Amino acid sequence: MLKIVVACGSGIATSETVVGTVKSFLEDHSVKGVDVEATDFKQLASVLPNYDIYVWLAKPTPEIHDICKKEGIPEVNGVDILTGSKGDNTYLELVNAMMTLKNRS
Amino acid sequence: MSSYSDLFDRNLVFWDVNASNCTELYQKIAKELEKFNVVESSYFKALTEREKEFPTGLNTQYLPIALPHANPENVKKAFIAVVKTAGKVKMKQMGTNEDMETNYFFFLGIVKEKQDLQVKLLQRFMQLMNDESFVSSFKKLSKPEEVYEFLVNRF
Repeated sequence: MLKIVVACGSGIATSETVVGTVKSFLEDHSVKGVDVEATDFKQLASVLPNYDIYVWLAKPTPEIHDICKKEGIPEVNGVDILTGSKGDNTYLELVNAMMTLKNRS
Repeated sequence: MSSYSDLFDRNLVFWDVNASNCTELYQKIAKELEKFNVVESSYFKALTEREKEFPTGLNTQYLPIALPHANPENVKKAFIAVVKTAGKVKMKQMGTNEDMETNYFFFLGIVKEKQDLQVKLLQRFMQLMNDESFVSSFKKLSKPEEVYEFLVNRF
């Protein structure tokens, strides 16, 4: 099971929205076995090591970058996914992150 | 009309609001929201502090916007307040904290009980923001009543 965490400031509005958007995207492309969850920024540092991919909506702190580096967790820009403003390329970063993990295992 | 339309309120559309900065705007809107009894007295402080820590400006494809929101404990009743300022207001972008400017603000009043519906609305809203004809029609609206009718019919 691949686990994705989406984090915004409070974990209530935009992160939940991106969770929904990513889930729909994965379903539309028949991708199974991926868990997508939202969290708030306060909890992020403690829960982050449990996930494989981190989608950010609030600017990652140096502490968060360090955890990602240490644990090998790819960081994905979630603002592009929220706005969908990159058209066909909106999910490119996410898909690339998933492919990196696939190639690694 | 969908169930989303209940979240819009004709009293909560404010057009051509004069505000020279974000704090001044939030103060004005918070006062209105308090008047309509949808937020707690803690709302303004919670809103401005959150915006400082986690900015909500977004450069969508056709229109820069902001989605100011405070934590649910500061909100009494679910709402969306739609605001256009008279002049551009300096904001920071979500995720990168980079500078931006906008006239359009969607204040999201999120409560736990209606969170699922509100999240779906936000998803739908983001889809609409990528629809060039929706955005260009929206930008042409000049009266709060028109804005309300437009949004209720398009959502």
